[in-house]
Amino acid sequence: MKVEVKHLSRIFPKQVVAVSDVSFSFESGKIYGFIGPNGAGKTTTIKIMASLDMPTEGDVLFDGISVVQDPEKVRRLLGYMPDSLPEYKDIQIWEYLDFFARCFGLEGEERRQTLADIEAFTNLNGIREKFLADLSKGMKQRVSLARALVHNPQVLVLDEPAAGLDPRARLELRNLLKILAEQGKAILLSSHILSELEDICDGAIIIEKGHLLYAGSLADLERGGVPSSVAALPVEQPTGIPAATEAAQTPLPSGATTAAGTAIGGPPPLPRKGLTLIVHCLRDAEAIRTCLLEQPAVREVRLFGDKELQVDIEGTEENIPAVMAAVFASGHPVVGFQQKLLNLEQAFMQMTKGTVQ
Amino acid sequence: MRISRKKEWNDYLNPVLVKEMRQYFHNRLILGTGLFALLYPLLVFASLPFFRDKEAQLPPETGATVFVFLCIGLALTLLSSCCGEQYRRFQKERSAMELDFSSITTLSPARIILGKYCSVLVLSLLVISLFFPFMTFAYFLRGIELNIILITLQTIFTTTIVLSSILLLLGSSRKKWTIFGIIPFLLVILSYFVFGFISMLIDRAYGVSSTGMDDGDVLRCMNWVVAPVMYLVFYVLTVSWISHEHANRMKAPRLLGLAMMALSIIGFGFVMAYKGNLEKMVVPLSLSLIYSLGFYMLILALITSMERLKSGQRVWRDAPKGVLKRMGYFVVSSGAYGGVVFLWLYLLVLWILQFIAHTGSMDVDLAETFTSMAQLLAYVIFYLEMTLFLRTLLPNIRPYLCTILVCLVFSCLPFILQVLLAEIQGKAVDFLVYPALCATSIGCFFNDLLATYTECSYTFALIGFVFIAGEVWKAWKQLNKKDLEK
Repeated sequence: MKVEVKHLSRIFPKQVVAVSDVSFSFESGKIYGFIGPNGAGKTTTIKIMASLDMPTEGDVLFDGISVVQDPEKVRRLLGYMPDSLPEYKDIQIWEYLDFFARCFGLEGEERRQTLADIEAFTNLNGIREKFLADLSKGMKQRVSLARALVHNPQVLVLDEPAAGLDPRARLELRNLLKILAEQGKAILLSSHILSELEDICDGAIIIEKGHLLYAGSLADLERGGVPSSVAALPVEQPTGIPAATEAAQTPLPSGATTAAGTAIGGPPPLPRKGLTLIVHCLRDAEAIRTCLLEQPAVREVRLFGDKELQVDIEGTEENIPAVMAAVFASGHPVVGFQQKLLNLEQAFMQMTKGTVQ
Repeated sequence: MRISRKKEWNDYLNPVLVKEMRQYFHNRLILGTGLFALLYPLLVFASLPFFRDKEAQLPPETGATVFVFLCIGLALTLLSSCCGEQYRRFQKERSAMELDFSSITTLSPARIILGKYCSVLVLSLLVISLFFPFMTFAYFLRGIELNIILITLQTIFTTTIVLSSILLLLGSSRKKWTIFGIIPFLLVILSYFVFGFISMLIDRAYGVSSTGMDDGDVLRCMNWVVAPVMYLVFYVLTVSWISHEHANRMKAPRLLGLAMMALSIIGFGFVMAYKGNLEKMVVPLSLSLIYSLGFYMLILALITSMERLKSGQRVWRDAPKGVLKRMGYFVVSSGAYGGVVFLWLYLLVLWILQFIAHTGSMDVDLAETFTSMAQLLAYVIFYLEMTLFLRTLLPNIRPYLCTILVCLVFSCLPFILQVLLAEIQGKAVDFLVYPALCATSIGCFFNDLLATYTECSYTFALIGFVFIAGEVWKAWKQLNKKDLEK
């Protein structure tokens, strides 16, 4: 199962742009983090994916099935877990899940067996007769996840599932999601807790003010957002964004860019900020610095004591061998070097300005 | 292990019905209702000794008095436990987005609302069955006939379900201000007004001097025709309101309107066939249907004034091939311009019926009623067209504000104009003002002098159409765009 978000835009009345020309994709067996500050457009995008809202332009394709054209088919493929669960005083957990199982057409023994499996999986079987209003936040999230899993969807979209959870509940949720990914489900996970995402996600999608900043693997993001590979999606002419129906039908030439210059169709690269190398030496740090600064790809070199330098290099990893070869050729006593990796939080902070709509 | 896919009896039930009933039985309200339904009648019967006269005998109307008290208790119970509770729950589901979660399952909006309706029906019947044994006792106390008991119970039942359907319609709105109860309260009054007005119209159809119908007949018309029609109308509208924003929401309401038009024409045929024998029950029943349709059209006109001006791509995309089919699709698809054409179609039907009634030498005063209906609709269409024109000019103003503005201007301005002209020039220019006044002000219904010019409303409705004709044409062309062809 491959989920492709294509040129998605959502403009609310009074020209409030919630999402603008967002494109990314994710696939089975992977967990993708959907990251952005408050008001970035995450929930709007997720609601469109769940067919709760319609895009102004663009589309979301689930193995080619359009959420705009065939929302009924998409609903069978997608499980949506919102950030909250209603507080009913008069419905028990099993009744609530039973209702959704019936809504998806599960009948008789099949329904009972499915619910028993899901309750066991989400560890709800001990509390299945509790009323929804009596549940803690962690329990509610488990019920919400169980509801999203009732019809065994191939894609799971989770909106802030870890918000308000204690460490134990987070750990449990993380384990559940890992198991689901291993089962082959494609998972999109929106969250503010970046350290949580770092442990669990294979990739990240970063969005701010309705615009996509990054979509790609976490490994690439840690290297400063330089993609090791770019997924090939059909992209469009720079003249504009096609309408919802057209987008799904018209194959477009690759390599084009929007008027704003952002590469679309697959994960766009980060704004070029380059790489950082940490170089260790025995002595002569100042001389090494001078040598490094002579290299055209080197932007800045900072000294940390006598034996360590931080080198900012323009462009991609391709430039590292040339720079280091020049240093080694100069005969200075360099004993090692490594690329400095960013964690998700640093990458996020570097990329976003923290501003909202 | 192989899992059995065999269906169980409860798999045939609507999932919403199953959930609602489970919720009811966990709720304290149902316990309270059961206790009240047991204790209140016992209290009424316990007070029987106070009814005795000086000879310690119960007066002959005791049964009727007890029945009235029981009916009050029953009505209050139904109002709180069925209507009020259902509305509260639905509003809560709507605001907590729970309804949205149900709607992204494979359950259609029609089945969701059907489940809600069924749960109200079941609960109403349950409550009535709790009261019924005590009402039977009231019969044995004398003073009341069995058929009165049955008709009254039927009326309470139909009123409950119609009221709950109105409340569900309101509950489906995301606007929280409806929970303050102002709108439900107004609608309760309005629904009684509608019931009363329709019964008055039926009565009027038989001529002013002799009504020809007793109260029982009027109640039968209400219970058998008006209430079920309203129930269906509110069902369709509620489904339409909770459907996806970009779906063809108005298709079902307009198709229902077309079906009612067809049934009304058949009903009109019955009225014509029995014109020498108006005592037949089929006549008032047919008239009830025709008048109910009239009210439904007024509701549709109001909705049309506030819906999107044009349909979205997704609606247009489903348009069938062929000019005639597309025209039909245009009329029943969402979008205010299609709605105007739909109302004109109904006006055309009314004109034809009016013409036949006039030439058919009816004993009843039916022809005049049709004329009034057609004129009223023409006013409404004119208001609607002006509203849409204003919305086209000022797209950023909220639709309901445009509707209110147009209604205020065209209702009040002619009166002001009339007063001013009378002050300045006397009656010499009245004939210039009256047609416009009659065509734009509903007040002409209450003024015999003005009523002379009421037919001008048709002219104004046509003039109004000219204002929006360009937009209607554009919408039609958009539907016929080549790139929408399958």
